[in-house]
This record gives sequence, structure tokens and C-alpha cells, in this order.
Amino acid sequence: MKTSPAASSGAKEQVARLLTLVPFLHARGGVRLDEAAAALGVPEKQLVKDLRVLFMCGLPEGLPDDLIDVDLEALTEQDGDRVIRISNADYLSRPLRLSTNEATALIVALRALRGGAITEEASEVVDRALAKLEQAAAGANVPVEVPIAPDERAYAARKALLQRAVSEHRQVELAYFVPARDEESTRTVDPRGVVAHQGVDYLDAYCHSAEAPRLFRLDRIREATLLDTPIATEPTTPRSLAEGLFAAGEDLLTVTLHLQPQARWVTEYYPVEDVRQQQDGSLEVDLRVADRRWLRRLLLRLAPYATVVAPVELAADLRDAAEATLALYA
Amino acid sequence: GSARLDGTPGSYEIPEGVDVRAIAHATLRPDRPAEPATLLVRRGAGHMLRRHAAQIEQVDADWERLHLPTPPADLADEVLGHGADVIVESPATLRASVIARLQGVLA
Repeated sequence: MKTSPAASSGAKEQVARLLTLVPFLHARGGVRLDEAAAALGVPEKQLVKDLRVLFMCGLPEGLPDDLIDVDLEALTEQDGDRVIRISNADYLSRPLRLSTNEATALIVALRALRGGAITEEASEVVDRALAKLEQAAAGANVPVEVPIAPDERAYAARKALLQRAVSEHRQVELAYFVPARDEESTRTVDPRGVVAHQGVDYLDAYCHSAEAPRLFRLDRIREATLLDTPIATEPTTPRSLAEGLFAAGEDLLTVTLHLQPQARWVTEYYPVEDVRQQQDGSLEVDLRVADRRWLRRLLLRLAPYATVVAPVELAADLRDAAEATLALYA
Repeated sequence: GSARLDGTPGSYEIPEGVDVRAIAHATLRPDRPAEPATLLVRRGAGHMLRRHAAQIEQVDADWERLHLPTPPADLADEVLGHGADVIVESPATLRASVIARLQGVLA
């Protein structure tokens, strides 16, 4: 297999190239061989081969006047000016058009992309492409209306702002909500990068409140303000989340839970170490826990379908919490 | 493979008055209007619940009253997760369910 740019040798690609080339040449008059080859992403040699095929294409009957005429001498002869000229192909002058389905697919994809747009410049490019497509498709009765919720707009803007902070090495002030602790806090961070894990975006940053690197879920950042102050820590590439969110070295506690069928979803929702099926349909699972407050909230939420098998002090902690809550209803 | 017809035409009869669409709708999306709820929530707590609140009333130095016109379907779970930071005032069924589940932990 040759390693020329793109798969240029296949017949299918060749037909696609020729169908693009003819209207292109029509629109431009003559085009220099090197220019056309670069535009199509193939070597000049391949393009000459393509033109030799085009030379034999045309209308039925195949008489000289029916075939497309290519000035091959200009391309191959020593003294040729290496400009592609074709004639007798007026019927192929219509430029590439998208079918309704193709246009719809592109518009939907572009709108989704804009909703989660990467950077400000990228969203401008997307907007321009969209405007052209929508205008082109307007006559074709394309029923596209994919509303992007204001939430998503705000989310995209926040993401762009964070990315800008990363590239400009500037600090950001975050209003951040932590469900595990049910608290919202304001903190100043040195952003390192936006990383994704299982479809969720996180900001990896050095947090000056925690005095340690932290991950912030983008959808839990209520407000982000770009500060003029430069970051106070060494710029570092964001961590890879390929291995999961918890670094191996983190101090994790293994907890064994007994789950009734109503609480089985836990095993699908959270990473569990081990699941042991019990005779009565319940489960015993081992879960690694970084934050005990998170566990207490989870167990209360599952009450009374989840109980702690080990360690015993966590079982007592759950009972205490239930007792304290129940006392409020007395 | 592609779908094809099987069996002889008329081999079963569709009972009168059966609307498959309505059955699917009722089964997959139970048409149960959310009942408004009022909760007492400690100051500075219950951020998730506050998002559903149409109105927040000051009760005293420690507590606020949240009015939720259309609470989420898993409100009981959500309330329980907040432990001693949230008390259900109404509806009575929700209050009873929360109390029963807490008693279940102590049983």
C-alpha cells in the first residue's frame, strides 16, 4: 500500500475527485496543476492519471464530440504550461450540492458542536459555516430546529472562558457547588486544563483554598470569573483521567455494604470493587470511598435498603444520622 | 436480517377499543402530577432542593421554608440524603414515607 496523503488510488475516490474537479475548473477557467493537486490533496502524478480517465468520459455514443476534452499536452509535454483546461463538459458545471439529508445532518451536527463549542474562535467558524448551510438549505425545506438551551450556551461560554484562562496562564475565581458536602464555596484556582471523563467535563486546577490540585465538574461551577492575576503555580499539563477519577495513591477506605434490591443501582452507578450475590436476591458489595460525608449521604438516600457491614463505626455513623433526623419529626 | 411478515393474515384479532399508543404512554411515562411540597431546610444547606423552590421563606435564625410547586420524582430520596438538614412539612404522604424509612434504618 502506498502512503500518499489520503486514499487517492481507489476508483471511488477517483470518481469523487473528478466530480469535484470538473465544476471547479469550470468556475475558475484554467487551474494550475500543482494548485489543483494541493486543493484535492493528491500528488500531481495522480491528478494527471485522473485526467486521463476524464478524457475517456462523456455522453453516450462516445464520438469525439461527446467526450470531455482535456488538454493533456499542456500537462505532460516538456514545454507545456501545466495548466489544466477542459472543454466539452458543460453539463457537469453544477457544483457539489448537498441532498436534504446531508444538509440536515451537517446542520444538526454543527449546531450541537456550537452548543458545546470549544473556543470562541471555533464557534465563530462554526457560525459562519452554519449560516452558509442554512441559507443554502433554506430553499430545500429542511425542517431543522435543534434548540440549544440557554444553559448549554452558558456552559459553552464558561468552558471557553476556562480554556482561555488555561492558555493565558491566568487565575480564575470559581463559585463551586459540592453535592457531597452540600456546600457552595468561592475559591481561586490556577487552571491547568479542561479534561473529559465518561462524557463529563472537568477543570483540572490547583486550588488555593485546598492548597492542592483539584478536579471541578464544569456543570457544578455556578460562576467563573477570569482574573487578571497570573497563576501562582508552575504551569502543568492537566492530568489524564484514563484510569478514572481517583488517583491510585489517594487515601481510599474500603467499605462493605449490604444492598436490598431497591438499592442495587448503586453497583451500576458507582465503581464497586466486588459484588457478591446473596441467596435472598440482595447484594454484598465492596466500595472504595474517598469522602465519608459522601457515603453518609448515599446511605441516607438509600434508607433503609442499604446497611454497612464493615467498618462498624460507619454503621454507627449511619444510625446516628438517622436518629438525629428522626428527632426533628418528633 | 430485514423485517418480514410472518403468520397468516387474520390469525389473531385486535380486541375492540385497544389503543396501544395510550397503553405505552401510560406504562412508560406514568401520568402522575407532582404534588407540591413544603420543606424546612437549614440555612446554607439543601442547594439542590433550592433549585426547585419557587419561594423561600425565612422561618428563624436556623431554618428556611422552601415551597416546591413541582418537586422531582425522587424527592423522598433527595430529602433523606440531606439528613438532619431537611424536614418535610407536607405532603403528609411524603412526610410519613421519610419517617418510615428512617425508622427502617434503626430497626
